[in-house]
Amino acid sequence: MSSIVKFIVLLFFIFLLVAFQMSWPLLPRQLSLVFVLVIVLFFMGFSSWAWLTAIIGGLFLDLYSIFLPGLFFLSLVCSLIVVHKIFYKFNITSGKEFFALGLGSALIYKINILFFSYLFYVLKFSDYVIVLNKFYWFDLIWFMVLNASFIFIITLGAKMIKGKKN
Amino acid sequence: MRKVFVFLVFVLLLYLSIFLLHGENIFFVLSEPWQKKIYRQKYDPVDQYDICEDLKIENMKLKFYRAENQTLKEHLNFLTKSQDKFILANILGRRYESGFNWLIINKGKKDGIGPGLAVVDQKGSLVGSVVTSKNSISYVRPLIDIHSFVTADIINFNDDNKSEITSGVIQGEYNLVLKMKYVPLDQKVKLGDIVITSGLEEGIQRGIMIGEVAEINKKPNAIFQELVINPLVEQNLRTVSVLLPVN
Repeated sequence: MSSIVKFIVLLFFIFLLVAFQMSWPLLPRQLSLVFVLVIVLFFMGFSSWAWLTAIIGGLFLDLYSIFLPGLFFLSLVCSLIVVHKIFYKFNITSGKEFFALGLGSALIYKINILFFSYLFYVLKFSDYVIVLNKFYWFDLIWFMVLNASFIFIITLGAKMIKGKKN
Repeated sequence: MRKVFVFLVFVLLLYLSIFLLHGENIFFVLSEPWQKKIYRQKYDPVDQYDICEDLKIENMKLKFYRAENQTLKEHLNFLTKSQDKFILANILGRRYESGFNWLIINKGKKDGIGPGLAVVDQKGSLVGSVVTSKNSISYVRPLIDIHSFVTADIINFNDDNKSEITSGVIQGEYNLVLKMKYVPLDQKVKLGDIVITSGLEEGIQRGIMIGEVAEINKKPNAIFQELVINPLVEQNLRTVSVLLPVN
């Protein structure tokens, strides 16, 4: 398959994920499908596709957001930069390590969202600032566990299928 | 390095064309039917093991249209009675991020919708208010959101048949309950009293139903009492009305 066709398929897939995330009432609200896809693609070794997903997915998420455009795009891209550094600094191969990095990447993503929301607020670009209360911390833990579990299961499943094929 | 630079310029131009030159509208038009379908999935369950599946699907569709018709009729009834100018809108989705909740509706600036306008359900209960609007879609902050503040009144009659107005501010707490805060301690409030908007905000008129008092919390040394409000807004909303300003 040529890379242009692959790109179009990925674009359509991200679009579907964003539509699902936004409109499917049964999906847990803390689950970020685009974020999960970015990290899974990166863990699977499709680094360039992960970057592309972060950019396009961030754009789609920004389109449906009340926050200033760029918040989700910057958060996803910056998270991927940090995860990229960690991934290549420590040789991550086991399931435990994948889960731990999944948890870490979810935390980094949330920190980035918090950072950019405060930055935009301080620079007076936006009126919305995330409030750090009990509910936020509970939400953060739930977000980390849920997304890391999804990343872990999908990555491990995909690696197992890849291993069997080989 | 050159490739990365070209790619970054492309991304920047893409963002500019989408957000500054309103290229986003193309995306909204394309995605609207998809989102509507996905959002309604929950409400159209079909038993796959039934023998008369086709009939069941048809029946379900008819039921769905009947329910929708009923909702629209109720919207019309309430709004023609109150003689408010309104715009009906479909909910396309809900989003949540770090304590912020918002609904996405399929009407925007081109329909006359702007920030601050009240959004009500088919019975006229307040759903929330418009936060921002783009050309073809708008974002609505639900009343239950922690960042939502609406001034509200409770109207009671005393023994002399004189009206007494109790004012306060309605705020969502942890996206779970509605609370009416800053109600002076000496004000008499009963369980079951109806709470309405006081109309102090621009775009939200007076008299829109919010809910009824479910709990009264009074602390001995506090200046204010706090009321827990049971919202009257319908659950599983699909269609809402945006009340337009009179002028």
